[in-house]
Amino acid sequence: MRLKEMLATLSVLVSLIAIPVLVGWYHNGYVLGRHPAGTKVITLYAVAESGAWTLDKVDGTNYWWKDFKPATIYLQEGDKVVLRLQSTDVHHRFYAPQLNIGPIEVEPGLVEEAQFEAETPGTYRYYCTSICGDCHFYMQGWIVITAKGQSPQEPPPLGCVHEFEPPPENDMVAWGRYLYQKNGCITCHGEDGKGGIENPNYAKEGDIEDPSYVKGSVPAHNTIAESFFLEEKEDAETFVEWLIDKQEEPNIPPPDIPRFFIVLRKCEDAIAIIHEGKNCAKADPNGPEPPLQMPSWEVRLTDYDIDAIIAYIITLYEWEEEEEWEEDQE
Amino acid sequence: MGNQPANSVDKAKDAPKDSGQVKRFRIDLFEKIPFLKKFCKWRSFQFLAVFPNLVIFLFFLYAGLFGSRVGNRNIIIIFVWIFWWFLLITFMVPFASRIWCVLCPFPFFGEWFQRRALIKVRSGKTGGLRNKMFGLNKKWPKALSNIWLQDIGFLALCTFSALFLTRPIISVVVLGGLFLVATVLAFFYRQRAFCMYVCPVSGFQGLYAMTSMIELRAVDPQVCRKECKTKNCLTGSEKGWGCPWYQYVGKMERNNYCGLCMECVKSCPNDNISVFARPFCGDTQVKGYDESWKAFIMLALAMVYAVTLLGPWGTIRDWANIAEVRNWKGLGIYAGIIWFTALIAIPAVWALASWLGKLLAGVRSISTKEIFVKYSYMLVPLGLLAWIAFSFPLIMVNGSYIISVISDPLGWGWDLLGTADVAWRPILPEYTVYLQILLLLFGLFFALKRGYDISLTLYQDKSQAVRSIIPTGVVCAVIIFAFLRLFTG
Repeated sequence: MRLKEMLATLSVLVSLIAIPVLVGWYHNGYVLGRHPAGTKVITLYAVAESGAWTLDKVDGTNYWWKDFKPATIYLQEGDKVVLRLQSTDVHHRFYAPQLNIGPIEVEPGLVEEAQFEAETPGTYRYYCTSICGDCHFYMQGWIVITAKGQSPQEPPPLGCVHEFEPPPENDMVAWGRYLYQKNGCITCHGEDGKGGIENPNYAKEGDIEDPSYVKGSVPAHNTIAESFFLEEKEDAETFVEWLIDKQEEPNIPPPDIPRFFIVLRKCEDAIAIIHEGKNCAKADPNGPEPPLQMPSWEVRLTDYDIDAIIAYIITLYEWEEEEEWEEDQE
Repeated sequence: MGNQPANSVDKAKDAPKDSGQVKRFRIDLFEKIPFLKKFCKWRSFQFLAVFPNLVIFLFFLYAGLFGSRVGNRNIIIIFVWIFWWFLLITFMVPFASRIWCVLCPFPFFGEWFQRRALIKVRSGKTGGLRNKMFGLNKKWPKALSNIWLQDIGFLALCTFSALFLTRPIISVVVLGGLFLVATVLAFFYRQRAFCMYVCPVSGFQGLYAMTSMIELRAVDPQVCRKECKTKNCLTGSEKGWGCPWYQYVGKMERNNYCGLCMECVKSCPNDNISVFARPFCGDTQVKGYDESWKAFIMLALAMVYAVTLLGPWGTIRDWANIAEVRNWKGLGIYAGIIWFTALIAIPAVWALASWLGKLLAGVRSISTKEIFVKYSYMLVPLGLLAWIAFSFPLIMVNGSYIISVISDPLGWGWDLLGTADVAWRPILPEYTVYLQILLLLFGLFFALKRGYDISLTLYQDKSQAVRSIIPTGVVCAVIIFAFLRLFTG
């Protein structure tokens, strides 16, 4: 009986230690160790709430409080790499077009693997290309491949910003600015709509093979006043005021600005794009999908929200000051 | 009001009253299967039963903490809330009474602390017991010596079930919390106070164990009452621990509070305890308001769950799903509906039906209260079968997750048995509804049949008995038809 009692006690104590040890041993030794020797196995966890593919291990103990940061993956030229992609919440899609990885569907709770070789030194952007939450458009990161013997260059920081203070909703332009930032429009169209965010599928000559897209970058928004044919600052201000007044009085008469109906038509076209979304055109129809598609915002934004965004981006145009212009004339 | 006094150590010497229990046949399983008796008398029996389960439970906690936070890819969610629940409610309780209590890991460390032994028995003296026990061994407060805590605890847990049914970490908090409470209570209170008065799972198991097709009883109760002077089943001996559930087998006439640990079988000096097979719904006595309300709560929860999880109303599902939708007002409405239905609406309807039953029977000496409590037994088979009818679609719809999660229990990309990638597929969905109809009608049949049996123990005259049962019988029928309507669309 004494021996039995000792064995029983020992079994209980051993089991308390054995569970984490065995789990760790099996996972690290067998699951991660089944790739050829020398392979870099990197696990990326997709977290919608933080808008990040992160290297931090995500589980029940930290998901609900931690703000995960997007991973920057540093590799050496020639590294053989296995990316283990795991969604911790909703459906995500991993895409690193310049490295020819993906798009890979990553279902909640499932692990997908992507193998590649770090061939060409450079800094490559990766994305989530399935709309996954408020921070979706921020869900990007970098893969930095460094030539042998060189030190890696740190790419610009990325990540979802949560701290936007919502202005009063009736301040239409400020509300539009808030939505522009909160919904991640700036991730593609640039800070203050300056554009210039490169479409990574657009390859310049001498870059990776093919495909060249019709547009090399996502359109800027700080020139929208011009493309609306709003030629004077006053016209733009009058049009924005008309948009604001229209919210309270839908049948308000048209403002006195030149070519108003063309302006209105252009405005309606822009509203339609926000409503319905627009796929990025491909120069090479067989080339990979561009990652930066304009999604449909029909469900997530109200008509007022969309008008507010239009009003905001009109105000982004940098007008030449009249005095300066006059001086220039002289 | 409570049910504890009949079981207490102090009152063990009281002679049993005439229970009014419906008499049924029984088959002595120890006599028919001698190996079973030998196995149950084996001192290592309980440890060997619970130890594997303890390891599995600890692994589930580990998986809940560090595994995937996606519910259907984490073993704690799939195995506890789908697989275990289905086995418990569909097979263990109706066929094997409180067999789960033998396997349950919650009281493991507390009991180990109290006994300082996993297999052996310590002789000695602790209070009225003939065993040496450790800890403070306080008596459980008399005011709480009933199952009201279990009633309210289960109701409270179920109000937030959408949280822990989908979130592994919340499941860890709930299960780990119960584990911790069971352990801490064992330091202060004697034996299994947690199981007896606190554990929310124990509460409904006890109630529905009355339907079970097995029972642990004295072979000849007269031997216990007249010949046995030591009452070792209750007080323990050098061969076995005193009953952790404070039961005296000589007076035990219901399954409600017997955890089937088999200590009494080992300690009985007269070899007078056995496990018997018996018909479904062998115990027919509800003994207090706390047990009646347990029946109301369980029925209400089966109704609310069926409406929420199997019904077509997305709004109600959104109210319950606080983790995803975060609609606190909706959750408030949902909680209000559950608590009002369970604690007020169903009991009020039952009280009205009982009062009408009394009027129809025309016998003044039998009070509405007595009818209310005793006839509430009708809701035991009714509620159990409603739960089974609700649980079958859950396992048939989610069964394929069991196959995949067993290969990848933490959702880390393992494939232990080569089944990790088995796609989700419901099992025979076209037959589910027929099964549900059969189960519900079976439940209604037993509710009416046993209700009639109970009425015959109350009334001398058959026609009075029948008249008294009509209103509560109608309530049962209406409830079942509501379930049928819901399940058949």
